[in-house]
This record gives sequence, structure tokens and C-alpha cells, in this order.
Amino acid sequence: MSIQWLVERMRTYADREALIYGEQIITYRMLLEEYHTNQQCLKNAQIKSGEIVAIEGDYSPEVVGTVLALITNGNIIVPISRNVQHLKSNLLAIAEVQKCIDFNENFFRAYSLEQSVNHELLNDLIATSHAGLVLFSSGSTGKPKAILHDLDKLLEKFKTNRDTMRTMTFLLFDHIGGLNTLFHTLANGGTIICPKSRNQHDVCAAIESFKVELLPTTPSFLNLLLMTKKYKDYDLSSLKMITYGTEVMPESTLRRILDSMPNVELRQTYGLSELGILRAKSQNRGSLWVSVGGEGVETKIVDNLLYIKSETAMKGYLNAQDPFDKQGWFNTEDEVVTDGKFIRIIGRRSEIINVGGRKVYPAEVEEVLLQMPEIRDVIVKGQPNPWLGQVVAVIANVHEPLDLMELKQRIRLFCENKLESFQIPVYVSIQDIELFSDRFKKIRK
Amino acid sequence: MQINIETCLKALILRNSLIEITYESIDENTDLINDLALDSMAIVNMFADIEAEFQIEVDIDSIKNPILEKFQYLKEYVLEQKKKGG
Repeated sequence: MSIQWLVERMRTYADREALIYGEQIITYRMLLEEYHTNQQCLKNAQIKSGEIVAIEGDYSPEVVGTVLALITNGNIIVPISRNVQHLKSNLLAIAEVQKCIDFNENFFRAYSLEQSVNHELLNDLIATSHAGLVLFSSGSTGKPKAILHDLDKLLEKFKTNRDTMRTMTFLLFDHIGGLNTLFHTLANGGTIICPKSRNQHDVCAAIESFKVELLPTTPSFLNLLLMTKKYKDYDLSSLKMITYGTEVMPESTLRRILDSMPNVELRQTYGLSELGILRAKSQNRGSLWVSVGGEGVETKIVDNLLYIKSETAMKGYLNAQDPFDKQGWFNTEDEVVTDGKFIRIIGRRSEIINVGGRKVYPAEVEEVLLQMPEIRDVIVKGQPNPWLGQVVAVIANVHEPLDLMELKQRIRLFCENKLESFQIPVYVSIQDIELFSDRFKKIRK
Repeated sequence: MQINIETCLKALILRNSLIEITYESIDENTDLINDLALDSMAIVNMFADIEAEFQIEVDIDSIKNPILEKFQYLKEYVLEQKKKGG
């Protein structure tokens, strides 16, 4: 694919800071040098146009330069972050990866996997000579699905000039949100700051050191930050905006962030690996109501479920059935309520708990439980029950050690006037380990 | 042990009851549904509490006696499950 438009634009940004990786500050000029160097590396490694190439790493200058080179070379790119090393061989097989690239002490290394390409969708995309992208759904509620995108289409929207900021790449290298941040920032002359790790200390330290203005993150990470009050140890005054997405935001978490960071704008985002990141506008600063759309996007609500049709939608899954209907609509499985053009996401339909025919939304119960002073974090899910089909179960992280029966009693008393009887947890367990994945998304399996 | 089980069981019933009752008003013949107005949610909660308190599993499919019709049957069931569990 020709990303000449992007390369030309980046050239005009010359000495601006493009990327900060650890302590390295890389200008646009330096990043373009990396891009050209890696174009040569691809030639030397005989990586041909149309081949499916996995690239491992994070938002380092070498990796970003190679990604740009692979796009120009017309490859189908399979980004692999360090967090999925344990799944790597399986993911590479699903994506029919033919070559792998990694950086051993910053040195480009490419090796072949002797794989033939059999999948119809992959061969169709290769025939167009377009660059491609394979992402894997996070698997927080099941097995990861391989999602194939036409990169030419996905990158089209970045040709439109937009505002940008000094933005942290909190979302990982193999996440649609992370890649969206990368291309949006590069296309508009902004700066990407990649922290040493995504733990609270390194994220806050990077915000302070490199004057991050925009933090795209998840409600789980924000909740953790609030609970531990880690943000108070750092000067985060450079922050102008926090965007949140990937899971439902508890109202209590939103309120506390608003109170703790009154000068920071909060904006909800909406996107799916299958559709890309869509334009979303919050009703106001403290609102969970959002309008979703933008150019090339249509939405509709059927049976309280959100459906989306998007020009940047994926080509399809490599290892699951085609989810689009005949008119190209995609069922997001997100249950919503509406108020004019605004929607509020209640939760995933598959996560709804059915207690004797009555619906319970985990987020609604979590919302209440997070107000309890004993509770640090919580996950609510359904547990099978012979009487009622399912009942509500909760797994909790607590601030101080607490007897389980005591916690259960306190939960029941606390919820009495706030939830209906069928919503109140029947089973309670306490867990020491975090309740979210290494991508800071609640694990509801 | 039997006295302890009886005491604990009554405490769990009191905790889950939807009407005002006293410890003394629960006797061997007390009908948990009709006399104590336990609804399905209260019963489910009570069984969950029994499982946690006595470290047993309440297996609905294996219950032979109508354990909710008489407190005595419930008590016997819990004792039996405790013995099985060792």
C-alpha cells in the first residue's frame, strides 16, 4: 500500500518528537530513517509483498519503523505483544504466518515458518495487493478470534487532519485502540509516549517525565489508580484528557475520577477490534451517555442491542463464522439504553445473569458493591443454580483481611435498599490477585 | 455436635427469614416455607449459607426427604452430609 501521504506528512514534522520509548526520544526525522532502514531489512530478509508477517514487540522505534515498512511492502501484519507469548504458536498458526520479525537487542531478525496460505479471506486480500492486519480479540470472555482487516481501508480515515496531543500508548501494540493511537498521532504530528510497563508506577512516572497530555485507558486501570491513590505521588498536571473504553465504566469510578482530576476532560471511546475505533461524543464531561458514529458509520438498535455498519469493518474472522448479516450489519452484543441520539452501554448480553427469569446486569451490581469501603475491586458473574437457573456470584478484592462470612453479611446488608433481592449476591469469594487481565480489562470467564 | 448444628442452622434461618421470628419459635416441626415465609431467593441464600457454614454440598437431586417442610428434616440432612464429608 502506498502510505506515501503519511511519509510525506511525517517528513514535514522533521524535528518534532514523534516517539518516546523508555528514555529514548525519537524525532520524526529519526523515525523515518528507521523506516527506510527497515525497508532495506525486509529486502535483505526476502520478505515479499503479500506475505503474512508477524512482528513482536511494543511501540519501539524499530517496531514502528518496521510496521510502516511492512505496510509499504504490502504485507499482512500480525502484531504480537509480549503479553501473549504463551499463546504465540497458536496465534501464528491461526493467522497462517509465514515470516516472523523480532528485535533482539534492537537488531532486526527475521525467520521463516514454512507455512502455506490456505484461508480464502487471506488469499482474497493478498490478491488485492492491499496491506492487511490480523488482530486477536482479547479473549476475556472466550477463545481469541482472529480478525482480518484491509489496512488500506483502515488507514484511510487518518488522511483527514485532526488535533493531536502528547499521547500515551497505554493500549498494547496488538490492540485496535493502540494502533489507532499510533496512526492518528503520527498522521497529525503528535508525540507517542510508550511507558516502560503498564503498571501504575511506570504509567504515572511517564506522564510526569514526558508531560503526557492524553491517556487512553480502561475503567479497571482508573479504578486501580483511585484505590491505591498512586496518582498522588506524581505530578500529573500535564494531563488534559483521559479517554476510556474497552469495558463498561462504573458510575462511581467516573465520579471519583471527576472529583480527583477536576481539570482533566473525560471522554468515552467506542470501538471493536472487528470495526475499528469509531467517533464517539460524550453527552457531557461526567456522562456515561455517548453518541457513536462518524463518517462511514451507521448504527441501529434492535431489541436493545447495538448494531453497527462501518466502512472500516473487518474482512472477517479467520477462525469463526462470518458475523455480518446480508446488509453488512454487525451485532456488537452490547445491550444499550437510548436517549435521543445518545446511548448508554449496560453490558454485554452474554454476561447478563438470568435469575429465575429476571435479568441482572453485572455492571449494575458492581456499581453498588464498589461503594462499599471494604471492597477494593469486584467482579460479578452468574453461577448455575438448580432452583433458579443462575444466581449472582461475586469475587472481591478487599482492602483489609476479612472473614468471608462476615463480608457476605456486610454485602447483603449494604445491598438491601440498593438492589432487588434477586440482584444481591448469593455466593461471595475473596481473591488476592487482580481481577483484570494484563490489558486492564475485567476477566469474566 | 448435634446441638451446635441446630444452633447454627437456626441462626442461618433467622438471617434469611423475611418475617420477624425468634430463635425459640423454630422447633422440630417448623415448616420453613409456610411458617417462615421463605421464598425461592431466601431458600437459595440459606442453602448457600449452609454450604459455607458446614462445608457441605447441598445436592438438590440427592435429597430424599422434604427438608423444607420440617426443620427436623433439614437438620437430619445436614448431619448426614457432614458425616459423609468426614
